[in-house]
Amino acid sequence: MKNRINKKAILNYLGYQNQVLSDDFLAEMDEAIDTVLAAAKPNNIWKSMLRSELNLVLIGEDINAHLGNAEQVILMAATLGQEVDFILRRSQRLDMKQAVILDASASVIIETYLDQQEDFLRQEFLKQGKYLSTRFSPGYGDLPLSVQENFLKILDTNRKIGVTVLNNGLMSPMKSITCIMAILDEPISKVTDPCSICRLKGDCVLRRRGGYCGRFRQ
Amino acid sequence: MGNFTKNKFKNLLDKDFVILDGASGTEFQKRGLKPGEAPELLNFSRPDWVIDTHKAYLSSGSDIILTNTFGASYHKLKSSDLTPEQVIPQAIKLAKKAVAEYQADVKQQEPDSTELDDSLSENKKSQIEPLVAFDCGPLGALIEPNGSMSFEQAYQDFAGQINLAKESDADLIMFETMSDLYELKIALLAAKENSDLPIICSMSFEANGRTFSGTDIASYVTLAQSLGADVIGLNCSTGPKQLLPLIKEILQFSKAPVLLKPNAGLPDPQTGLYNLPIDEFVESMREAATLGVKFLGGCCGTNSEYIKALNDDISDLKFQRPEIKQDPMVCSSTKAVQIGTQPLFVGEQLNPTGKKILKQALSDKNYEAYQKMAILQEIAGADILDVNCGLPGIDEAAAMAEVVKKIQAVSRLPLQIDSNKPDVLEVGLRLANGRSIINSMNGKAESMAEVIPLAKKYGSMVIVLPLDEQGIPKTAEQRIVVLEKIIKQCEKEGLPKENLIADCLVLTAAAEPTGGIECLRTIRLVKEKLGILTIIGLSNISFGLPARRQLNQVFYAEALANGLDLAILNPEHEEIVATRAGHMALFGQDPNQTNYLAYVEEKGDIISGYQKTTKTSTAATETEKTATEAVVVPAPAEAQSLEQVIIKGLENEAAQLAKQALQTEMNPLDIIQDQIIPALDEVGRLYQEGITFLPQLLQSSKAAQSALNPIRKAIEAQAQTADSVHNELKSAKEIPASKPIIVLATVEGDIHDIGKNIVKTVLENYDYTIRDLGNDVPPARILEAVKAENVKLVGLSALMTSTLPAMEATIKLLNPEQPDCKIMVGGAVLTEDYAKSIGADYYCQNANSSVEVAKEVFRNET
Repeated sequence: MKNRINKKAILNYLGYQNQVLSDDFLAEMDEAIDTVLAAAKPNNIWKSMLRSELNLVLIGEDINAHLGNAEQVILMAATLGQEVDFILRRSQRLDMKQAVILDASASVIIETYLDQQEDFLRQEFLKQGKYLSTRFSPGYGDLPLSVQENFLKILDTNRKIGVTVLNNGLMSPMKSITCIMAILDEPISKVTDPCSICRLKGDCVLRRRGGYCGRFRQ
Repeated sequence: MGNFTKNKFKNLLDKDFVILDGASGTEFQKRGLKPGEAPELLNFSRPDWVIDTHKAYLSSGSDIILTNTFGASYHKLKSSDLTPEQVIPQAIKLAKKAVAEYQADVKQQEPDSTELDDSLSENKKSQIEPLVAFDCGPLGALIEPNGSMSFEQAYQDFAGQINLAKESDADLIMFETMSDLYELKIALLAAKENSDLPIICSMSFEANGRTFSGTDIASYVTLAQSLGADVIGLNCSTGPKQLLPLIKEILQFSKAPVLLKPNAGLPDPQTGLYNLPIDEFVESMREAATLGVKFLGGCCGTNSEYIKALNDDISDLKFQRPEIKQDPMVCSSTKAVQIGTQPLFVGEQLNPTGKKILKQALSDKNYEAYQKMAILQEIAGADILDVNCGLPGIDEAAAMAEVVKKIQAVSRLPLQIDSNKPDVLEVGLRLANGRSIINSMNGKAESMAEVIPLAKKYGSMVIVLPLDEQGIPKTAEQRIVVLEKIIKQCEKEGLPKENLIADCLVLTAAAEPTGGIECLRTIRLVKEKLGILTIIGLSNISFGLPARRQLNQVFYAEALANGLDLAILNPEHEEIVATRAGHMALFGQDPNQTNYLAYVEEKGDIISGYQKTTKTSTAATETEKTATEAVVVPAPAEAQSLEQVIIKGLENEAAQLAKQALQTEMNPLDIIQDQIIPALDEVGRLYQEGITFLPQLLQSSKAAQSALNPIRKAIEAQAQTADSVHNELKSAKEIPASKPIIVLATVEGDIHDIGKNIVKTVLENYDYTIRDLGNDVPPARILEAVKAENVKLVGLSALMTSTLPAMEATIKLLNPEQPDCKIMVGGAVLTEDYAKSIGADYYCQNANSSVEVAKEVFRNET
């Protein structure tokens, strides 16, 4: 996975705006990536389901627009595991600089892991002549985080991959992602513009700087 | 009832193998349960399905059936209309009914079966009454620090369930599919303290040999065994074949009978169905039985056909299991440490004696200093951490509770609970996530009466001191006599001697010329005559003498040569680490000197100071500089000002320049005001303007921190001098007291701490006193902290949209009660407008904005 990790994305999480980077810093970033990869036990689970079975999850206009006319959807959850939480917590007691770099690296690594799984699924479904939409997660647009509980229950993530929902829809381990993809008969023509449905549009620091949080794949 | 049940369970143990049931979900789905539907509801909606399922397993040969209560926890049932008070009695009733109906059926058929061949009727006769186990799964909520459920709440929930099961006459309790060792520990305590039912415990391990929360087999078995689980095993996760290597490991460690209840292979990802054929399932289970697994059953994907086939297949096997011999172990949730196999370090630093920073932590109830020290001890090579919270005037038990929780959130090491008060010991043993050591007990009747019951209840190891009412014996022989007395008393009360560690008593050499030799002789005699483990508190030997570290090193080497197992010491002293590595290399404890070579590769030659690595590690910069480290700190290449090196983020240079400045007899406060603060202001400006970004800001913070450390020490020293001569030296005395206080917290429900911690790092450099309340902090707790010190500025952080209401609630509570306390808020999802709309006084867009706010607030104050 290491060569797929997008270092620019890690820098984005850290608020990077083309500042000069020292060799020391780049080495530190590499070390952080290695540390997270060593601690991570990436795991995922997915299920293809009838859209009509998922009334408790597919809430709001944005997800339904995203899914288009699909009848089948994929629910998926992925995590880096609890050890990553442990090293993040621990680093915050010793060195906040290292902590923020580890945290940003872990955020990008879980996305990268999910990208890999997504690609795999895309290939698998292509064999059956099916196409997948891009990923859409609870918390995007008007899809509330409160669906997380039902989402995780359907996938039995607690037992299968050790992911639990906390109060308020947060997940533990922290570096976990849930997402929804449509299974379509034809390749998708339009991709949801990630920023157009974001709550922070109009007030996004990253956008003002000409950046982007990287929540969707481009 | 208790004895009767125990007997029924004991009868079961007389069988060669005990067969449990298979999955209930699979059986329910066969009958029509829809995916996602809670099986517990069937206890009411389809009791016939539940009874049929139980009976299917009973007629397949199950000796123990599990009630349909896997998800019947208080937390999990919250989202349904049901409560454990309804579900648990009903489910037990159904299981008992199934047993009764099944037994009636068998009786009816008996006349026919007498005609069958001998072996089968023998089998029938030996079939003892099947037992009903109350099935208890995980609570469904995560316990601190991974989630927000407290130890106490989890205990209450388990205790509630256990009491319901007991009142409904369950025959035993089975905890299964556990993946958090802490949760299992709480469950076991709740079961032991609320019932005397036999307990089967079973965790779910991944094929990599760990649970989702990182527990390994050795830690699991160590903990479960120490708390008296009657059966220890594995269930769920993967198929039997994948679990065989893990079950072998359990068989190596567990003195209790072992259970295996695996899935029917791995599920097909697309359909979610398990498809291991029955014969393959049975083949692996037979292998497990041959290895010595006594309790056998199935989990997800198995049904009554699997169980029947299993039962038939092993009917010809005789149970056999080699006796196990293992050195005793202590453990945390992720690390087990075997004692007696090789010399171990018990880190001594988590003790407030002589440590101002820990005394401060205890009186402020802010235990971050303990956390930091624990991490440093672990990095330096400690195997176990001694934890002491003794400080006059504080609630030591309450402090121990918090300190243990905080330490295990950031350290993986097993703990040694250090106190002379039994209530403090108990809190520590109870809350420690693992099996701990008690430090300590002596030969006085009172001490033994207090400590032995604790050691038994928590299955702890105990350090025993050879002293009693007659005082400290001088000679080794006299100490052996006292130790023999202690061992005898322990064994009489059921505490086995392998749980004891003899403290061989290091007396100060300067005061007691024979102290050293008697200690060494004690170590040797204990090993030879008593055969128990040994420990010393090392540094006492050199008390009152100069250059103590080299004396400690000498004594440590001698003690190792006499067979010492554990030493309480500071592993940050590199010469001690080197001594141990050398001892093991020279005396056959390090085959081919592999570990020694690796040690030298990493640390170099500590005598000559030669070191391969040029980069000082985080650990090294945090610890006090040792002689070796001082060698590698490079001198600044060119003359730079303190201000410049902070802006550039050069830590070592900043520390050096600060020390130089102190030597010029500059007033320490002036160094802060004239050099460090302007540097930080410039760092802040560069960050605000986007010339630097977050890691660079934090690097400069680190540099400022390393400059501030010696300066703060100098200020403290000044204050002390001022005190001692009754000098009204205002600047030194008043400044620490008048440092403005800022309360920081991540709001209730949010466990994302990082944003708040960044703000804290930046503010601390400006010499504000930070009261960090941590994460997931209820509004009332924040109000309490603000009131307690009449705090004028609070910073609240929330990372998720779903925790913003908690932020609003906190502000709504604080504002009317403390109108002159300002509130600043920050977090990834906040906007300025939103901050205003919930009544915050300031919105902090980034890490540095809080500094501007603090300056403004406290400027207005004065």
